[in-house]
Amino acid sequence: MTREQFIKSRQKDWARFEQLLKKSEFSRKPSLTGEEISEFSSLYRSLCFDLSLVQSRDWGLTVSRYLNDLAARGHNCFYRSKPGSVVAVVRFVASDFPRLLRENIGYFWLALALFVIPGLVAGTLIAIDVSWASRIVSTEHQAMFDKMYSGNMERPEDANAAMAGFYVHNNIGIAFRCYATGAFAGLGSIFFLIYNSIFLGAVTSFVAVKGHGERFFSFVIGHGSFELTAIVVSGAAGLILGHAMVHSGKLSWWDNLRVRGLVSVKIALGAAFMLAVAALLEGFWSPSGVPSAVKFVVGGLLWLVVILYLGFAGRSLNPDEDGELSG
Amino acid sequence: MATTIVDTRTEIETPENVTLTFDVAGPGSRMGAFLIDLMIRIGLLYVLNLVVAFLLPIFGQGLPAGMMLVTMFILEWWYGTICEGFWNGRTPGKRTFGLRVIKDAGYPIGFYDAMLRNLLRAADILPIGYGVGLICMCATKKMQRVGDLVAGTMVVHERRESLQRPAMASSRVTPIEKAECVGTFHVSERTMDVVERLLGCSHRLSDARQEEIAVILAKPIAARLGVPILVGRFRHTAFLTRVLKTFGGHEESAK
Repeated sequence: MTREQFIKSRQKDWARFEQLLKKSEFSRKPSLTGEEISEFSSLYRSLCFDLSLVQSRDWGLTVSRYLNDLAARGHNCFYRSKPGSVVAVVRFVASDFPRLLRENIGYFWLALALFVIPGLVAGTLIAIDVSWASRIVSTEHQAMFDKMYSGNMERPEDANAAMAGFYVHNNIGIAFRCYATGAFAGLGSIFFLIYNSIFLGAVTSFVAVKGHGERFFSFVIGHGSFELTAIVVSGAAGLILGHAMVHSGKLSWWDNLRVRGLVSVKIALGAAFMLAVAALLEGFWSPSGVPSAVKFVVGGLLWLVVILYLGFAGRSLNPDEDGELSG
Repeated sequence: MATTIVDTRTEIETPENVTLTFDVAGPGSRMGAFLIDLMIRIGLLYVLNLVVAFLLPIFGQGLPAGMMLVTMFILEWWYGTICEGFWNGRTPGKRTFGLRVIKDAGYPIGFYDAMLRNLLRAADILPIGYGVGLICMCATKKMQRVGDLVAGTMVVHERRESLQRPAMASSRVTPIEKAECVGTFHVSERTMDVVERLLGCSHRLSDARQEEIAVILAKPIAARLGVPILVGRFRHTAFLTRVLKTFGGHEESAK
């Protein structure tokens, strides 16, 4: 058979395949009828056969490229992943994310230590001698914080939405950067965790020393539950990624990176979800005019919610099933 | 395969046991796609700004400003994820340049793959202007930046090849007669394919450039056939046209 005869005899099938491809490529929903799908798959198989035939003959680039292109598109179409759904989102928040985090709880504890210890040290130093504060927080910022927490914490009503937007933009951005820079063997995440820890520790201590403790803590306790925990979670995600970059365990470096990368990005997505909740709290609840006592109680409850959520959400009643989920 | 050719192709074996070839996209076209996407993002932000300015007197400052910030966040961190995740590996910029993100095993990407490679931009973009990403792309065969490595994805050029033949050899061209030929009266199909491709490019190449390339092709073919190349300014192109007319094997289908 010459090339020309071959092309002539098969061309009709290829054109039909291309037609079906065009029909299904444009939407994610299955747009082919049952009959068309079985036609598609049999055409795809014969196309693959044609391609390997052409590759084994020396018939030049035109026809082999054309078939390669068609087969690649078919392959892309045939092995497409399932479209996402609202159910999947709910399941992610309600169980997948906390489960994944618990499976990798070691990273969380490490990130927590990195986020707590430097801040405690910085805060203690400032509590002993307030002049330390100027080494961490610039004098203008000191004056700003001093003023911010000395007066009434309430904002004009309509600034709340703007601030909530700001927290989404700023805080989730920081969390994502903290996660992504974990790709450098975890160093970026470690830096972000320690840096934020020292800064927050210093500010907290400074404000307390200045005597604004009650106002400050009643403001931060509510959203702090989700916000601070989420920063640690994003750091933990970065550490998972960084660990996979340098150590691969039983799998090959590539395979391990794929598996762990997927785990880490899911955890980072969970952190983003928590920060979105925190932004709403910080925007609308924390600055509200309710008495401090109420804020402390609600804030305490919110911490409990976070702990219960991360600690228990998605745990099945049957302990045997718990071990099933991996990766 | 006996020899490894250094180029930007990458081969994948499918479950159907055929080898598919993909053209991996390099930094140039990807940068172009990135710039187009950047312009789209800035454009969207600008439009939103106008909307906000319009809403300000109605809702006061807070809500529109908050909306603006949330949109900025989405455009900054989710633009790529949303486009690639829901549009089978393409953003408008990638579409313009004929690029698509696929798994490095040839499969379409999923939502988490898109998210992974787009979040890790924050690492690739360091220290300045995608420095890390560029170095990583140069160091990997499939030109993957860090985000691609972790997500197991690559960016490929999508060709849209067609089987269209060059509208060829008008009846004025005389085929080479067998009698005319001193050497072997045969040109391999593979060589004919190259000839066809060259002649099919005449709308993209200048005549002079086409002639330049034709020289390289025509000389060995003429030597093998033992047919002299005639005179004239574009004699090599003309010779190839005759070869095509003779050995193209689709005279009956030519118009």
